[in-house]
Amino acid sequence: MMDMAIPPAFIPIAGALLVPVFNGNKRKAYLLAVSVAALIATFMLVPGVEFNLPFLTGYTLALLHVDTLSLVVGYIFAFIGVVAMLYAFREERTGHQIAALVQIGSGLGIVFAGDFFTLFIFWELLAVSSVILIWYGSDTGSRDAGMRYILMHIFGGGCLLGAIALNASATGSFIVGPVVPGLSFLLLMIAIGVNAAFIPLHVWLPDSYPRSSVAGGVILCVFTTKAAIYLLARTASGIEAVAYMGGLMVIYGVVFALLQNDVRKLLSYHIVSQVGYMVAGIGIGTALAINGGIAHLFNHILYKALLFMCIGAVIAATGRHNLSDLGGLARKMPVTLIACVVAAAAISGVPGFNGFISKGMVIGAAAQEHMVFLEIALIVGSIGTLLSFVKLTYYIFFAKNDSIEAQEAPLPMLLAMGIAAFCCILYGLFPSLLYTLLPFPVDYHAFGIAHLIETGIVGAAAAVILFLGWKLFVPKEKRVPEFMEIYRAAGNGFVWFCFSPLTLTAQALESVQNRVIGHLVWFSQNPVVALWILVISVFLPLICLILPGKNVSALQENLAQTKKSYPGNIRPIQGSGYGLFLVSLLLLVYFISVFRISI
Amino acid sequence: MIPDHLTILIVIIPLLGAYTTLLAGWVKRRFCFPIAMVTICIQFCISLALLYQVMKTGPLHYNLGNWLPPWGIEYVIDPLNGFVLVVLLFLSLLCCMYSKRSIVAEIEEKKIVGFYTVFLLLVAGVCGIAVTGDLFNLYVFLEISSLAAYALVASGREKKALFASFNYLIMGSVSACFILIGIGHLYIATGTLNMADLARLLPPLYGSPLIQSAFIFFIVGLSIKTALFPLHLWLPDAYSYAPSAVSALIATVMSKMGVYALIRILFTVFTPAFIIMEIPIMELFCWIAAIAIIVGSVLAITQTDLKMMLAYSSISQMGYILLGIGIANSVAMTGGILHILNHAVMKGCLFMVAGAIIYATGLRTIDDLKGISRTMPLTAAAFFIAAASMIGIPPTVGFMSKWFIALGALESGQWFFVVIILASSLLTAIYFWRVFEYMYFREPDMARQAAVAGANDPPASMLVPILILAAACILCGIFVAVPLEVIEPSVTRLLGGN
Repeated sequence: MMDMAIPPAFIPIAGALLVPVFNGNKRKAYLLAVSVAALIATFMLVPGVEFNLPFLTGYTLALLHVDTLSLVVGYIFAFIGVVAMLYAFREERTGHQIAALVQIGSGLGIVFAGDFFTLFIFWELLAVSSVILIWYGSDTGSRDAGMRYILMHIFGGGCLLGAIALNASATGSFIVGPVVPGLSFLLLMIAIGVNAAFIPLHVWLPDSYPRSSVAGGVILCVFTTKAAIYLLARTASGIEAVAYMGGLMVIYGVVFALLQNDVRKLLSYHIVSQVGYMVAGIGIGTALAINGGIAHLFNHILYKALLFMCIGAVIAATGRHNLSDLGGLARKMPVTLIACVVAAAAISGVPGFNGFISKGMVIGAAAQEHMVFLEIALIVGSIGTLLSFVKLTYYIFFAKNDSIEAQEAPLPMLLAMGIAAFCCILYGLFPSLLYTLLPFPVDYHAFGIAHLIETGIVGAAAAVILFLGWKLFVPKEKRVPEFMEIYRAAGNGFVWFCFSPLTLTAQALESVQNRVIGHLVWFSQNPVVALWILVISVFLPLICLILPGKNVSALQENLAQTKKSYPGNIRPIQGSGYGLFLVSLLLLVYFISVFRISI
Repeated sequence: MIPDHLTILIVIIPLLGAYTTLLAGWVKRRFCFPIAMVTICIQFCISLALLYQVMKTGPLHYNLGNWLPPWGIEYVIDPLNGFVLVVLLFLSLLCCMYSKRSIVAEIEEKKIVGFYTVFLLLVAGVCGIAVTGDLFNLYVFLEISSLAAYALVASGREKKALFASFNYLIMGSVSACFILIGIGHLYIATGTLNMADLARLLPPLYGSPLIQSAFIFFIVGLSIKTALFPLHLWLPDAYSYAPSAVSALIATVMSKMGVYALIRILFTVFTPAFIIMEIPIMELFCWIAAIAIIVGSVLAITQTDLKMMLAYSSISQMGYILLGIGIANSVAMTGGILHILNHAVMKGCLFMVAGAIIYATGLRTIDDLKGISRTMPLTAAAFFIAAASMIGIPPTVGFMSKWFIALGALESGQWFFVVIILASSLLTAIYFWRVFEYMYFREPDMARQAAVAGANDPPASMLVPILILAAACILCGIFVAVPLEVIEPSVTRLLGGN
């Protein structure tokens, strides 16, 4: 017998509605309490509980469907929700607080949704709340980036809805699971692809996350992509093309991350790269690979949120967000440094930190399935990640910079970072804690010889590259930005192609589109008059032939006047006379239509 | 003893209330409002009791003066008119509450006594239409409510209101005349005026031109009453120049009454078999409704006056209801009848908002509304919710009825009507979005700045009905199963051809 339970998604979303009721410190305590309540509600779930809401006749919304897969993702979502709310303790803008809670709630909603319709609602809610968090970023580009974000996600949401509708019409079922092949599957892949940042669809991510608010970035980096990974695991595991897409994402993300100067942009590209590991894991589709993908999701949320927290603390303290402007913070922000090093070690896969475990699982699964190219891509990605984070840590904390002023982050932020860092180490040292949560039974030795050797190779390769790099640039060590310009120059050709021909084409398309839309807007302002203007303008030469000159010039004048006063206001015909005429006309029509048949 | 007589009390009470108001108003003017309020409150409670009774035990029959049906007048309450009664009295109640402060600004003080008297007469007429099972009785109540409506429209201070009322009167009288002709035809053919009796006697006569032309007269007459395009000419002026409380009342209560009468005559007096099989008229009717949907929306876009825009939007929305009824399968009918509730709630809310803005600022064109959301936040929010419902954005209630109507159209294979419904949603979005944009995202013009900045949300007696209706737009959408519980049996009953 199925038991009932409260869907955890309700708690933050309902809680968000009550935020304006509280003020000052009470509100801060309240926000934390809500996120903790959601966490507790998630922990109380056991596989098999349900919560169904009758919606239309014959259709119920399954708001709660719990199994091992949804539980593990749900745990980490709820947990990081608490940490993020703690981190956002100083954030006092009401809209931001509400959006953060809604974001957490919709993440949990997606994970525990039992039917596609519920999933879709939360999917859209997630996109909307994300945009609000982006808009709260103080960056001047936030508004436009948010707009681009919502456009892409509306497109993705539309694809999802299409997939759901096609699937439902083919199978009659709304249950979240594999969909029928064909168009439905394709649309689903596009929808997931938009959220999970599949390569041609990833552009929103590095565009918008760097422009979000400081606390918003921490929340954003958790839910959108991971919810998509969850849906991918639910609906379409074990597809080879998806696995290779993961490999592509790993390489692409790392290469672009290395080219970045803006710190949060760098982290954003690393999201693409790290999500690539999860996509690869789920694409490979063996028990080990899916376990690895989900484990990586779990771990990634911990260390990526930690990274965003550290970087957020740095940005909040200094007001700078470019690597070239930062440096010398090691003494001024020691705790942040330690947290950042832990996170960097975790993301780079250093043994003893959590990233090492799950990345190893995915790479190991690729090796097991003899997908050599994929394995190489994943390993190369690891090298790039290590390089990238050595660089990041160096240029933020150690590079010489005398002009910088900063203070250590406030206590709530430090506390949040401490918790996340502790978890990164905990799960790194005791991976079995995580194994018990995973969807399939785990038979994997994290500290096996092969994996350690592989890690050694990664470390050695990174060291060699760094060594050569340093050697080359030692004399110019002071001119730090040049170090990155080398990467830039290499990437420039590709970047030029993206920015120049591609953008020009896009602009041309856009201007055509704008003109069409402009005309439509003009027309919709007053369709009746607009139609009149169009018809008269088109037929004026014809009318010239028929009517004498005087009438034509009067008509022309009338036309010019109407155009000038457009959209204007027309008074449609009135008066009882017309009314009675129309009544008799209609009566006639009815009589004709009836008696034509019966006579 | 009393419970048996509830059916008649629902008509008697407002009649008594009307005369009491007149007498009390003669003594002291401020007695009028409480009396009207209490009267409608009692009626609303009665209507709820009746609906509960009907849902529990089935249709109620009441013989006036104990004369048995074919000779005496019979009052019948089944799920459909139980539902319509509750909706209309709910709206009347809110309109009455709203009128307390709003008409003070819009009507000369000495007319207030008359206003409430006529208001109650209109409610009496409307309730009479809903409960009666007798065709001639229906005509009488239709005339009572219509005459009251003409008077209410004319009660405004503007001179245009008089012209609007006159126009309304002429068209309304033509309509009444047609309905009377239809009733006469039926009486000549059958010798009875009782609806149930007519339904029993008519089938053998379905081929007769007399019956068929009676039917056409009914359709055209009631098309005028419901302002179905192209017979809508009286509506925009009447709705927009009447005092706001009256606009809200006639846009919701009066127009819905016409629809109700149409449903009764189409499905209870005549039968689905007749209107679908015998004469090919419903297809034409549906096409006219579809044209009304589009034309109403297009004309609404062209308006610059907010109330005028809402009036044209009403024409479009009535088209939805009539389309749902015209398609005449159970799903579309469900949508059409649900839309009676929806449109009453949404349009009531919108007209009240328009009235509240006029009350607070004296502004009535759309251009003048720039930036009004800052000084009248609750009013603007209510407008937004109701407008979203008009467009049909889930989870508002407007989505549900459009969904059902579209589904019904698909079920009967008339996919073109689905296209019409979608296109009209788009058009509706255009004209409401414009207002919404002005309210929220524009700065007031220099000339209007003082008026906009000085505005406030209206007093509680106006604000509460607005907010109740806005909340209803969402609640009815989420808990749509509740109204459907009543609508579904009534649709089965109507289509069952009893």
